[in-house]
Amino acid sequence: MEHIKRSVQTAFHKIKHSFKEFLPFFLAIFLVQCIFFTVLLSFQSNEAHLKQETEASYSYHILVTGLYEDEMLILKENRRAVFLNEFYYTPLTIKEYTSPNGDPSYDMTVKLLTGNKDYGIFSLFRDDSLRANYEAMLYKYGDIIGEASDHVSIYLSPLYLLEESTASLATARNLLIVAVFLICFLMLFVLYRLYVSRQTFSFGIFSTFGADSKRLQENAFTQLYLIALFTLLPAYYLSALICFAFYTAGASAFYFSWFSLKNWLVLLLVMAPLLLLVVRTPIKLLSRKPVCELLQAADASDLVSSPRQSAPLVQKGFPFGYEALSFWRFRKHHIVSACVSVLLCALLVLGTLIGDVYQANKDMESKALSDFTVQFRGINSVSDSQYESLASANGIKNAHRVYPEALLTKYHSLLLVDDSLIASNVGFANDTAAGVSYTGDARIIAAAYDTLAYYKSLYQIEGNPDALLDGPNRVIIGSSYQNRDTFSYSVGDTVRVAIPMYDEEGELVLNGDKLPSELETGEGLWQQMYERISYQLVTLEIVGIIEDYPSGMNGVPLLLSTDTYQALTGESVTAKTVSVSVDTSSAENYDLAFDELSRICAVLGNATVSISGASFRAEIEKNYCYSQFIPTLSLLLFLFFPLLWVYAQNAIAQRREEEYKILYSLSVPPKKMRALCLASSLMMLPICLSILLATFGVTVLVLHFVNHVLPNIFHISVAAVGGIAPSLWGYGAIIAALLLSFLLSFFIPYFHYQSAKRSFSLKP
Amino acid sequence: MDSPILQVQSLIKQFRQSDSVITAVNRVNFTVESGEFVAIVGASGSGKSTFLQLCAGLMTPNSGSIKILGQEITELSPDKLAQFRGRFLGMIFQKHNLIPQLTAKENIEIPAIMMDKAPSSYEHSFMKLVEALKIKDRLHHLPSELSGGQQQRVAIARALMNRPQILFADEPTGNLDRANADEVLSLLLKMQKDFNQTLIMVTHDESIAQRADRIFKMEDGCLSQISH
Ligand SMILES: Nc1ncnc2c1ncn2[C@@H]1O[C@H](COP(=O)(O)OP(=O)(O)OP(=O)(O)O)[C@@H](O)[C@H]1O
Ligand SMILES: [Mg+2]
Repeated sequence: MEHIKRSVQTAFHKIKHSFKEFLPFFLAIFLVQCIFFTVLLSFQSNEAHLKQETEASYSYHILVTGLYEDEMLILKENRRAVFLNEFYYTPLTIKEYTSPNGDPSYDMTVKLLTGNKDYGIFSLFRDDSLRANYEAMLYKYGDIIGEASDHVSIYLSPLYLLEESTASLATARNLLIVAVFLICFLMLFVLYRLYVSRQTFSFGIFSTFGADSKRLQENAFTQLYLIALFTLLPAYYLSALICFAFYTAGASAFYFSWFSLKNWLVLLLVMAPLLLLVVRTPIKLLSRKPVCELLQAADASDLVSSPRQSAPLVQKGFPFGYEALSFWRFRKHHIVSACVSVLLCALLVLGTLIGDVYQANKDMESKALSDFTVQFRGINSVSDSQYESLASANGIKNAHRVYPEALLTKYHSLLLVDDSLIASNVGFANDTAAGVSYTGDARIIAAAYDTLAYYKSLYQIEGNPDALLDGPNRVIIGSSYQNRDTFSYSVGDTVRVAIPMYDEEGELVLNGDKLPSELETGEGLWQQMYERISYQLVTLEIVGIIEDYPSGMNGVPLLLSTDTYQALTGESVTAKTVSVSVDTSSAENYDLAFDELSRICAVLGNATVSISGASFRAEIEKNYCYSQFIPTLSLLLFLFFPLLWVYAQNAIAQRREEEYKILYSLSVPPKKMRALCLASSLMMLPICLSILLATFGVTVLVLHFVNHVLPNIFHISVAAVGGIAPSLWGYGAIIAALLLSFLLSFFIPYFHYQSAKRSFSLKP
Repeated sequence: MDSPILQVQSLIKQFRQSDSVITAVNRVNFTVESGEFVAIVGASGSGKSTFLQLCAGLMTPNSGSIKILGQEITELSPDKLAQFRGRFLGMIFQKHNLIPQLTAKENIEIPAIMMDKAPSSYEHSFMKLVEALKIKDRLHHLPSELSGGQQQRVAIARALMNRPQILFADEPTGNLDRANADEVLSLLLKMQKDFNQTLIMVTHDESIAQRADRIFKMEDGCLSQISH
């Protein structure tokens, strides 16, 4: 205890004493804490939002629909409970309506009493007629929705799933914190190594008089941790301000508490291992060296550019050659700084891009949300009239039948595009017999009038899409592949779908005796397929072109009328489900739509509604402001860039102050000294440029990854993101920072030269 | 007589430059008994400082053994060695080696702080030390604000702070005038008597060397006793 008190006192004195030396650490630790707090606070706000919205919108945990009267009564009176402590729930609302056979049917919402949120609760609904529900629910509650029993369905409301949603938020937060921890560690580590390299002499003296590495680490840790204590509260309130700013920009509320002991303790807890790791290695490495080497670092031998090592590198000459030697002497510093800078710049650009990609994908998803699925039983396909009765429900935005799709991939089929129309960058050269192009995957979609309307609401379709249903062999086709504008056909052109032919035994009919090689990929594979497999060509006329279709595993979409689809694929076109999305302009629409759909299903008799709650979730997620949060976070991380550069350049210049003194005492004229400083900044120019280039390279790579690797290799459907436009401000920040560090690499040495000069004039 | 406090056997230290090898310490054997005052003299560049730093565990030899208080220090890990230095050894460098950012007082306190001593436990001896070294009125000055001789005396105070059993002194009086040099030497010898300290001193000063129990001479890395 006494020991801790003393070492805290010593550290405090040390910091107070050499505040200037520790200023960079004040800034860096402050920044680290701001970053951590920004993550913490924004996720806490998200959680508060999730909780509030869910509890405001849902008062019940479980919804049971389609109950017969006796079942309803069992549940209502809780007859299953034998003892008082078995009253696990209270019924909230009971709605009655008449089913087709004239009997009354009931929907009941149930609120679970606190502490009873486990699977066991479902045993309460265990009745002969409810057993199927119960078992299915135990299996996995997500799956039972809508198909559990012939007349009863159980739904879990978002309130029931709140804990899970919260947990997934927490997972995201923790992952982010780990990532941030690693980056912050790296930054502080680099900074601290610089500090140690400046302090070798002091450490050498400490070690001479008995300080082992543990002792040195302890001192260093106490100093940094003390700084962390000082900056904790300012960082907390600044990050609250930052969060407030970007939540406001995202038109969302920010929940925040002015006094949060828990948050402060959490951060101090995180800072401890972080700072411990930061000081550990540099000091370990240092104390492994013989002490006399540490002490030597302080004398002039280290401070004068050493021609011995670098003479072969550059011809000597003052000031440029001379400065080049110094540049070489500090090459390690420069390399580390440059690498770290590239990382930070890349993170910034990545942040802006991810923000953009996130937004683009949310926009894309939000158009295609399905809030309810109506499932039909015992029918061949949903008829127009059945569909119409569902589509007439109030409060819905869109309802459409879900028709099957066929994927044309690999050996299955080829999509050939009329040769005169091609300006494609994928595909065969025109020297093949048919002069064709291909796409990787094609997605053949059957569309009735409702599906067509749905697609029209999702995408921009050029031409006259309605003509699709007016005749056979017509197609609406996508013009991009792998998120890139690939095909330049226009309405009225024709495409041919090549369908491989099979013999009676179901074997592929080959032109020769060889299959395409398993080893071939891409163009080569297509070439071989076209040559070796017999295809039957079906010509389709383009009536519409989808301009903005996001590519993933879906490939190029080909919308066909149901008849054409059947003719082409040989599969019958049936729809067993209708997908419904809610008009989210009014909050009541969700309940309204569900009520109406349940009623209609009850009337139809063979259909059940299941809830996905997608709109509700999307609405909440929108309030998380991720597309503002991610760029903000990367910008905060980017602030390490100027900090690091200024510190590194200052550290180098400070170590050279002795050298400047010597130069001054050797009467080097001021003009030459200015030229020397200019030389040092000019040598930074290639570093700055390479940082910029590397960053640009990263941008290109990321765009390639998002637009091509994700859809192509990982089969993840993503919206296309275009170019560097969204990260332009990121580039602005990077260029400003580079310019700053370029200028500073002149002014900082010059400043230290001036102060070296002054130290002479002070001496009598 | 008990075993020697310092025992050096066939110690070799070489510095490798790009094309040449300098043997700064060449197969040196050296034994010092507890409480002795030993002086080492020799020409500039003969390897005296190197030898002293090797004995003080500040440098690792190429080969040979250094036993202090029965402990083979060449086998200690850097951390153990640091602790060992802190507990038993004191060092006065040829160049005073004060930390420029710290005041005289703070520089002197370093060994005590590193050994985790409470200020109350060393207050008294600290005051006596700085009084004897005549730096009491300069305690709150930075090294750059002190004269060369004052800096040297601060460094001496620092080395004596923990009352080391062996004190290695590399020309402790090099920066001092005759009168001051004699006073500092008297102080060192008094400490040596009072605390049964062992003093190993490199010096160019013939009159100081004469007061030693034994005198050794360093010549091109080879050490030989020239008087006792
Ligand atoms: N770090 C080093 N690298 C290379 N050579 C060194 C190093 N330290 C010392 N030497 C060389 O070792 C030899 C002995 O040096 P040392 O400092 O021990 O001499 P000294 O006897 O203390 O001289 P002085 O009386 O001038 O202090 C010298 O030739 C010196 O150049
Ligand atoms: Mg010497």
